[in-house]
Order: sequence, then structure tokens, then C-alpha cells
Amino acid sequence: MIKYIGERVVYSIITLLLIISITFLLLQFLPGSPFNDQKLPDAQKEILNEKYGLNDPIPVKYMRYMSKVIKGDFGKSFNYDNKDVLGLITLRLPKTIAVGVQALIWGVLLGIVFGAVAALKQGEITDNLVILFVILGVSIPSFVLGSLIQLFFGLKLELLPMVFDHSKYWASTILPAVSLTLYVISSVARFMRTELVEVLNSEYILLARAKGLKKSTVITRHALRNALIPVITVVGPMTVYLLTGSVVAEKIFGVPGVGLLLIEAVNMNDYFLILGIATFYSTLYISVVFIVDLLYTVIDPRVRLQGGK
Amino acid sequence: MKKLFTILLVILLTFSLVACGSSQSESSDNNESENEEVQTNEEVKTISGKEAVANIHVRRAIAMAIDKTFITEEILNNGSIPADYYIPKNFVYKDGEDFRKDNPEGYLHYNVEKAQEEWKMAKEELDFDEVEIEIMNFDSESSRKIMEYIQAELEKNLPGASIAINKQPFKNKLKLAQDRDFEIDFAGWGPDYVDPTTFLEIFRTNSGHNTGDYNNEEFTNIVNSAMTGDLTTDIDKRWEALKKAEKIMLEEVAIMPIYQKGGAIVQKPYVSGIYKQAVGGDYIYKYADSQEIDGKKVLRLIETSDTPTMDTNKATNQVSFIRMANVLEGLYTPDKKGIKPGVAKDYEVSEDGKTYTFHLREEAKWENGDQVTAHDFEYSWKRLVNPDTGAEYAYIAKTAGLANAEAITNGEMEVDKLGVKAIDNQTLEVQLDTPVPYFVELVAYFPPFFPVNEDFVNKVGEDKFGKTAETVLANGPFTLDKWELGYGDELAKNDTYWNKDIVKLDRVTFRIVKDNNTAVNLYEGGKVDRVGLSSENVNKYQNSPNFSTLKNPTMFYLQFNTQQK
Repeated sequence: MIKYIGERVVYSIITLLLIISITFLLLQFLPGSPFNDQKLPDAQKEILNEKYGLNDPIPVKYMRYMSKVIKGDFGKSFNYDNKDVLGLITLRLPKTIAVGVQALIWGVLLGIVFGAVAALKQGEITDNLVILFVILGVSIPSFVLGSLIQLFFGLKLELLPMVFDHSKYWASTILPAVSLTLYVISSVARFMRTELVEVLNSEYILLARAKGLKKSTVITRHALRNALIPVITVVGPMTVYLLTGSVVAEKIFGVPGVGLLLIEAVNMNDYFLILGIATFYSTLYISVVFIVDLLYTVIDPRVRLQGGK
Repeated sequence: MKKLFTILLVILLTFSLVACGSSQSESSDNNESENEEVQTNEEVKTISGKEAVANIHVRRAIAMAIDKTFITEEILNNGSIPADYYIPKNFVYKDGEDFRKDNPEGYLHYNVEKAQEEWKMAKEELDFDEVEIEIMNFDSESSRKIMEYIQAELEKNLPGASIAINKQPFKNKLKLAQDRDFEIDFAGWGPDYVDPTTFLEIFRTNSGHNTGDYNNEEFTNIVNSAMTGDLTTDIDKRWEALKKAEKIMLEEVAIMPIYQKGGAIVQKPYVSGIYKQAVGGDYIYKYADSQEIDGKKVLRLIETSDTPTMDTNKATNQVSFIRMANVLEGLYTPDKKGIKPGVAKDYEVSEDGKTYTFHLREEAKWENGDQVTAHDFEYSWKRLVNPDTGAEYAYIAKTAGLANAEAITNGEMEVDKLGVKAIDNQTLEVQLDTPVPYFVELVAYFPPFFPVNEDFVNKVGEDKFGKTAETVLANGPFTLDKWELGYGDELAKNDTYWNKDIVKLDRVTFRIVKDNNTAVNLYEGGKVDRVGLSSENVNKYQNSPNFSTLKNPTMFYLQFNTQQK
């Protein structure tokens, strides 16, 4: 097991370096430069390019950047007057996480409950209601839902702040989290229901029941545990999606998160900021996939690796 | 049996589809051959779009073939005004008289008949029947609508013209224009200083911004003379000459103006005294008034993007400029209309118009109690042009005419040779290369010319100056009290400001909200006092007494590639 983890860590680092390199190369082909002002005279632009080393050949720029990255320095932002890239990301990360984690926890818990209830009441009214909810949940775009709940709970009822507010930190993260969580609930519930129905009809459940185990024991110990495996597969990428910040929710609810930062960085050709955020996203993704793989071995003995117990 | 039936059905369907397809292609073949017959009878002559727009009659035809009121009233619907002129209305005045007063409507108005006459002349001259012209466009929703309308109008009014629209992201569009890789470019221009030359100068031959390579010797001579030559000494003659220059370039259609940009806002009835400026930071709040919240007068506003920096010399962005126009004060300062003395009490100009001597007031103080001195201006301006600073706006020092500015920004001369010198704490002497009629206005409005406290920069560190609220030092009506990237910032009344009695507000807050519907909801919910409206929200408020429109001095136009390059 330790060997396996070690190998995975090495592969992850190689993957990450590759991602950084490829992103770096692709950015070199972006048209324009961080100095986009159409009024800037060419001579002046040239001086600025020279000052910030943008005129150097690509391999030189690449080596300079990579040697810094290895030391943990992700460079400075052009647009934000040479502020540290890492500092800009960590400043905004907590708000994105506050919204994302709430959406994730509610989404997964409610999704599992809804899915399980639907599967257990298969064909009944409850099942149909859940299916209807799921269809709505995956088809209503989050900007529509976001605008509606903002108008209703924020403006009309005045229950919750309409935009993110430092003085009401948690209260103001609820609406953006809700706008994101509906999709999570629906996806998880859909998977949960399908899997649980399949598991409940399988022979080992029949065997467990035949052994005389109580229905509740069979469901919690045998059925749910097996049905959870595919659910974990969808939850992994969803975590990344939620923690990297949804641009739509951040825009509607004025959350100063990482999602909007990336959009701005791309618009402004802020090379190092784009690279920094891309690296951050990739690290997050690789780690989540890694954790999901480890979780499989905990939940499902069939995928347990040799020598692992 | 069932299987067999299905297979049969599939085969049948496939055959019918194939048959359908071939019969369609046959019929289209027929059409083509018919067309060919027509073509052989009478050959359709075409020319390239580039060749066409290089012709003055084509350009004049285009300029008169579009009804611009539809664009401003139906598409933009935000107070923008249709324009057949290039120097904006309500922008530059002489003795209180608008530059546009004698000629408010401009040149080459909408007139389909005249447009078609020109079009006919063009067809004869260039010998063509049909032409496809490509227009390069921004990739925004409103510009898509504008361009689709222009396309329809031109194709309707100019027989044989077909218009292709080439949508490009802004950065790409700039590059294609620079490379002369366009036929017509939908572009815009805003002023740097209050003078007609800020608009006209870009169409001089060999100007770096003259991407359409418009070339008219008389025009270029007038503008050059008005900027650095003989005309600078005769204000009246200069004024008339610049009017003539505008007439020349518009009648030759270097550009076809489309509209002067407007803006629509709603503001609560208790808000007053927010003044819009033509250049520099858009708004000044020193005269503004609002309601009291918890015993303090607070004005709550929305901003759509971050303040990237508060480094006086390095800022380029409008959001930074608005902060600086309210936190700092230059030698002269924007007033309700025009400028009035700021840190300087008054100034003298030498006979030749090249030497300015400013006398600074003793009571002008920095936020930390230091006196604002002539050295603060000398330091700031030298920091602006110093190539080590890497200020994007370094070139504006040349626009201001500061002696040796260009050579210094290009790194060819020592920074100390710049034409600015503190004679003593209260006297600043400025040397210009040539007389610049708009010099005092430029340094009054344009934040990179505001003073910088050298001791303060050294104390916080050159690389930290202007990056957080703590590393900004105010000498204007407000201080920068809070500033969080992505969230917003707050200004507080500056008690050390020499003229603090005019300031009514205790606080101005800016919250960053990118979504206009959210901003409007906040306004409705009483959380903000004033909001700019996007065109889809204008209809909702158009009849409200709290609704108003603003005229910006920004022009949008079609720029023609006039040289077939």
C-alpha cells in the first residue's frame, strides 16, 4: 500500500509538471500581451516587454519560470501591479471554499438520502417526485436558479444577504451554495437511485435476507455500501468543480472567489496568474482523484490492492 | 419475422434518403447551370473589399447609407447619441463655447439618395457590379446587434454590396488592426486630455494609431501645428483650424462616426452633487451628498471591477483613476465644470509659453501631516518617465510637452534632465519643449501627474507602494480607508485636506458586483444609492424620476483601411 501511494505521488508530480509546461507553452500563443492599452505607443510597449522579460525566447522564459516554480514562487501578476500570484489566490480561496464545501456537503447528503428513498420506494409516488426533482435539478441552469433565489430570499423576503458580505460571512454564503447544490443533489440522487435499485435486486442481497438478517441491516451494511462506490466516482470531480469556484454563482452573488479571478486573468493576459490558477486547479484535481482511488479500497474489498488490508 | 420487417424498413428508409439527397443535388445542379447561363450572358464584375474601401466614393456611400438613430435608440438605448461628428459634444470649450456649437450635426448625414449616387460613381470608377466588404467587430452582444443592423442597411441601400462580419476578441482585434489586416474596423476612442487634438492626432500620417493609414497632408499639418507648432500661440486661429481639420477627415471619410457613448443610471433622490469629468477619473465625490446612516453621511456605490493599483504613476485603469481623483489632488483640480486651483494657488506662464511657474499653497497637507511641496511633484513626474518604474503612461509626459520627456522614457537621456524643478518648497518650475495649450488641464485631470511623497515611498518600499490601503498616502478630499481585492473599497473624509469644508460625505463605499441584475436588486433593496444600467435594464427605469443619462466623450466609429495595404 505504501509503495502504491509512493508511486502515485511520483506520477502526480510528473503529471503536474507536464500540465504546467503545456499551459506555459499554450499561453505563449495567446494574442496580445499584458500591456493591452491600445493607446500605448509601440516604443513604450517594447520597453515594458523588455523590462518584464517578455521578449526573451520561449525556452529562456520557460526555464526561468520553472526554476521559480520548483522553489514555490509562482511569479507576480501583471494586472495587479506585481502582486504575488500565490497571495492573490490564497486571498480569494477561503470564500470559494466556504461556498463550495457547503454546496458539496448538502448536495451529497441530500442526494444520498433522496436517491436511497427513491430506490426503496421504487415505482411509488415518492420515487416519481424524486425523479421529477432530479430532472429539474440537472436542467435548470444555475444562473436562473441563482437569480430567482436572490430575488425571492434576498430582495422580497429579506431573509438572506443578496451579495457576499464580510459582516455576515456565513449567512451570505448560503444563497450561492444553494444555487450550486441543486445540481449536486440531483446528480448524486440519480446515481444513488440507479445503483441501489440494481444492488437491491442482486443475489447477495437475497442471500443476506435469506440468512435471516433484518431488512434495515441488509440495507445499511450491504446495499448502501455497495451502491456508494459509483457515487464516489461522481463526487470526486464535483468536489473540484465546487472548490474551484463557479463563475456564475460568484458573479451573481458577488463572491470574491477564485473563479472570477481566473476569468479576469485570462481577459488581461496575466500570464503568471493564469498559470498559477491552472496549477492550483490541477493540483486539486489530481489530489481528489487520488483520494477517491484510496477511498475505493476502503469501501470495496474487491479493489483492495495486493498486500493492503 | 419481426426482424425481417425491421431490416426491410431500414433498407427502404436508406434508399429513400439517398434518392432524396440525389434529387436535391440534381435540382441544385440545374440551378447552377441556369446561373451560369445568366453569367455567360452578362459577366458579374467583382473587386476585393480592400480595393473598394480605399476608394473615397465607396466610403462616402457607406457613410451616408446608415440611419444611426436606430442604433442609439433601439439597440443601445442608454443615452448614446447618433454622431456624424468626431469631436464629442459637451467635451471641450473655449470661452464657455462648445467646440461643436457652430456645427452640432457634423458632416455626411444619412441620405440614401446621395449614398446611392456616390455608390454609382464608385462602381463606374472601379468598374464593378458586386463587392464583399468585411467589417471587423468586437465580440460583445451589443456590438453584434449594431453590426447586424449596419450589415442589413448597407446591403439594402447599396446594391451589389454584401457585408461580412468578422468578430474578434479585443486583443486579437487590436493586433489585426495594427497589422493592417482588415477592411473596415469598428473601433472607439476616448480622450486623454481636454482638447480636440486628443481625438484628431491619431489620424495624422504616420501616427502609431492611424491603423487605416489615412493620409492627408493638410490635415496632418494643421494638427501638428496645433500640437507643437505655430498655432499653439494663437488660440482663436487654432480653434478654427481644428474645426477645419475635423471637416477634412470626415468628408474624406477616414472614419465614419456612429455614436457618442452615453450611460444610463438610476440614483436615489437624496443623492446629489456627483460630477462627471471628461478625462482622468470619471467621477468626483467632493461635492456629493447622500443620506445619513448611523449618524454618518454615506454614499454607497457599485463598481464592476477591481482597483488594480493605487501607485500614482503606474495606474492606467479607469477604476484606479476614479480613486485617485478623489484621494489625491494635483496642482490644479477638477471642479463642477472645468478646473480650479488645487495644491497650487496660481501660476505664471512665460512669454514663449514654454515655462510655467506654479506657486503652491502652504496649507496643503498629506494625510500623515507632511506638507505637500514642489519636491513631491518633481519626484512624481520623474518617477513617471523613469524607464525603471515601468509606467505604461510614461508617454503622457511627452503629450504634456515636458522637456526631454520622450528621450528619457526611451532610455536615451538621464531622468534628471526632465523639465521639472522644485525651486523651493512652494515653487515649481516646469519647462516644456513647445507651448502646450492644454498643459494645466492635463496635469489637473490626469492622475499620473499627481504628487507622490518620496519619504513615504521609501518608508513603505518602492515595490509595496500603492498596493494596499495602508501604502496609499492621500492629499485630496478623501483617504483610502479599506481596500480588498475582489470585494471593494471605501473612501473616508480626509481631515487633513486643506479644503475639507467643501466635503459633505463621511464615507464613500464601493462594492464590486459584476452582474447588472444583482446591482439593480441591491438598488431596489436600498443597499446601494446609485447604479449604472445595462441596456436590458434601461426599459424598466426609463420613466422613473430617478433615471438619468450621461454623455461620455467617447466616440465609436467605423475606421476604413484607406491605403489597400
